[in-house]
Amino acid sequence: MTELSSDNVKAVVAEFCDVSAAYFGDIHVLRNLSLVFRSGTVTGIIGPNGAGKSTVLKTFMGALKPRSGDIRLYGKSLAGVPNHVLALMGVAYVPQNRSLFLGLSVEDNLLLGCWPIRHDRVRTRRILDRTLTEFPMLGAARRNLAGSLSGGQRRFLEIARALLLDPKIILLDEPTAMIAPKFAADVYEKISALAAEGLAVVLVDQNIKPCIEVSNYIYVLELGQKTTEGTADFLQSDDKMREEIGRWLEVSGG
Amino acid sequence: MATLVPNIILNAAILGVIYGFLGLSLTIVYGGMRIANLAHGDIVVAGSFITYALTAKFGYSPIAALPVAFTYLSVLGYGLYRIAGKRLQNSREPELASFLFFYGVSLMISASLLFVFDADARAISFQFRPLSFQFLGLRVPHARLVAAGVALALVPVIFWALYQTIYGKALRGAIMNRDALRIVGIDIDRLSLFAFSISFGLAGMTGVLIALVFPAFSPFSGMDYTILGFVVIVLGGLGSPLGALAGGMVFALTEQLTTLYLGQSTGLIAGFLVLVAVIVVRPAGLMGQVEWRA
Amino acid sequence: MTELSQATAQNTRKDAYQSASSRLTRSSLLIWNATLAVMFAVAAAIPWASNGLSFWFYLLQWVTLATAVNLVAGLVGYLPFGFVAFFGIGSYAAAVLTQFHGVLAGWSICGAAMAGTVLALLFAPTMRLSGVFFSIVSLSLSIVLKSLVSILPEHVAGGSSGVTITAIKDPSLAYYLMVALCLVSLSIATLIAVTPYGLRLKAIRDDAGAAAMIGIDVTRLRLSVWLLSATIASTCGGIEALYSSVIDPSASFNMLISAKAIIYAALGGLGTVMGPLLGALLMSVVDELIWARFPVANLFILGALISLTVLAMPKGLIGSLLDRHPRFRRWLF
Ligand SMILES: Nc1ncnc2c1ncn2[C@@H]1O[C@H](COP(=O)(O)OP(=O)(O)OP(=O)(O)O)[C@@H](O)[C@H]1O
Ligand SMILES: [Mg+2]
Repeated sequence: MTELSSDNVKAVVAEFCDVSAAYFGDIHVLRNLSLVFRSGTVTGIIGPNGAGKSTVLKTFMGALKPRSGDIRLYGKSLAGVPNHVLALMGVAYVPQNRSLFLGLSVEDNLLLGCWPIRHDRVRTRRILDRTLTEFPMLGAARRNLAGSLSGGQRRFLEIARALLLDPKIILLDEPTAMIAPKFAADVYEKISALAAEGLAVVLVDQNIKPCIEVSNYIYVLELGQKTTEGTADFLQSDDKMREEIGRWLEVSGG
Repeated sequence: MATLVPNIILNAAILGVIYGFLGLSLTIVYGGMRIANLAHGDIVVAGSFITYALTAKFGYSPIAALPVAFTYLSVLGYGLYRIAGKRLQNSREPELASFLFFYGVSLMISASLLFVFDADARAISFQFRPLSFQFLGLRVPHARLVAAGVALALVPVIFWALYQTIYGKALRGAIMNRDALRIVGIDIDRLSLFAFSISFGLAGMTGVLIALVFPAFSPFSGMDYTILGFVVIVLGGLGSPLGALAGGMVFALTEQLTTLYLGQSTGLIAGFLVLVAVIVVRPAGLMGQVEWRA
Repeated sequence: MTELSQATAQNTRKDAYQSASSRLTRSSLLIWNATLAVMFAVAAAIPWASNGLSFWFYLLQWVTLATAVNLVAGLVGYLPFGFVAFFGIGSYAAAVLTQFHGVLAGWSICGAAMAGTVLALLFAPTMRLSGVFFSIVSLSLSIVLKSLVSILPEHVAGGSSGVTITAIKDPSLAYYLMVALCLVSLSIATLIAVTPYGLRLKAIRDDAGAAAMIGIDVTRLRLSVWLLSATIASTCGGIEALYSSVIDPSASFNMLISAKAIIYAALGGLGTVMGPLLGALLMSVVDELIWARFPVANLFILGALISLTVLAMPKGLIGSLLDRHPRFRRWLF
């Protein structure tokens, strides 16, 4: 990991060591992937559709078991850890598809986010109040059903819920997909702020330009393999990479 | 006729509460876990037989059967979930797998009841005094009043648990979006085990109420109650506890009023036709919200 | 559907593609056809060889019903709890035509088939529903139908005591009709499995939206299977009425008939051709054995057997075997 000299000061929160994973049979969607996620760093993962970006996060969350290799959190292997325990261990996840309880109120959605500490009512209450004031938009709609929120508001509710228990690492899967540009800008701002507070942020994104702008370090994935990695400046100065990115943008109609 | 109609409506309301109660316990498990418990009616009938045994053999009041039925049957639910729950939920088609599995369970329960109690229809011999009450010109059997009273006392408790506690919210959350539960760190398996035991216990209590309301039950009446339970929750809207109550009420009223005006065998037809009509007009059921489900 | 659960859904999808891509070879089809031919030659010879015709008749009936229900359950993905409605309407059509109107056996069976088709058309709007909604509405309709039949006047449909057919003395005619129907339904299932029609159906079952996108007429295709399945079931009911010569509402519209057909098909393997055949054969024999050996505990054992099989082999005999040994895909389908 010596090549990461500029980031060496930041602690490693989690890492993928040579991980291969498959949904079924031996069609590997991730192939010998090694990634490092550091605190106070936004790590971007980009790549064309179907590259396996979401799969990286799902494998982290335990939905897929690595066929080989190891995923480590704070230096310890996650093998055999039941996936509902991850929330308790400081891993927060905002998946690509919706993960809200649309028939429950905004506040109840947040309350369920406090499930691991449900026995400590005082702390739960305090965290809820803090979050509702921190996100005024949610505070104003606390009694409304989550299903009545707009797309952008829902995204923020998901992010707010993921942050309730002061996670050490947050995994965001295309957080700005299909939401209004105004909200998207807010999301990127929030991401920078989180990293500044010391969180390890993993950002999977299709919007390559803003992703590269907000990320400190970037992995490029293609067909489940890491093709390039480096700091944002490095990638932007790399001609081959720019050409490559231009090609994806055409394909995805961007 | 003048007093007949209010009388029928009152009786239908009592039945409606009990049908709703039946649906309530079923909806917890079906909505949240995608487990189609085809043995639900047999659990209910087992509850009725427990009431029968306690009243006829030991001379207790049917009220005493409530906690007994709840305990025994929730233990049965616990055991069944331990054996099969996880496998069924993880199978490719949980609905189909659980449908088959619980059909087998239903047969086993009927067979066991048959073995212990014989095939004859039973009725509880306990009699409340006075036999019936008379007020405002209406006559209501005491036993029915007790049954409705018990159901009306329990329903608020269940709703409080479902709507006010974090466990109830998690359970309703499971109906809306199971995958999100895992993300917020809920152990779905333990939640399901818990819900399953409660559901079985409540079904057992429903059986006690049914023993009070209906004159007779036999080891093979289980399927009727399973069907009734599913009809009620589909009518009211899958996974909606309030819908289950509404569905029970609508079904009972239709059934009873049609029986009054058109004769015995038309009641059930009308009830089912109302179900079909509601589903055609509002496919999600009376209070269902399709768009909230993931 | 959210991301985590897509894993399972897509697995099923991939399975379908695999089974489709390993198209059956000429030789495996030949073997299957030969097996069918031998089995039906044996079935046709039974009346000479055995006195216990009844066992064999009902064996064939369950094979037929399981195969028919599998068309809807395995290929379209509906669980029709009220499937018995078609069986019952067929029984009644045949019995009423034969007994009250003096129609010849052959024609009354045609009447039964038509009654099933018409009823299926009437019930077709329920196909807009999905999952348990469809199942419960289907069940309700069958119960409504049963009650309607029993409140019809006695000279129309025999009322609640049913109809007794006195015109037909020899049950072997009905037996041969059942042999023929069983053969026809298995042939239809085989044809569907090897033609593009079946492939399109599988595509619909796996993802109706995607299937519509690539130009498959989802509604029409589903309707055609629905009609086919219902017609087979009602014909089967008609033949059974002629065979048993006594029918009544609660026996002809017994929910157990739906349940058994679905269970037999599912235990053998839904969505396969051989599954329902195997399931129905095995379970009919097991049923017979259990009832004979354990008069007291028979129901319990049957229940335990069903539950345990589902836990051990959730995709049925054929499905689970193929999961474990994919190389049999060429021979079992
Ligand atoms: N549930 C699943 N079952 C089987 N295969 C899957 C599943 N989900 C994804 N795949 C396959 O895994 C590969 C990677 O998918 P993944 O969703 O990780 O891509 P992605 O990079 O996130 O793409 P996108 O930009 O479209 O979100 C694809 O080939 C996809 O077909
Ligand atoms: Mg993705």
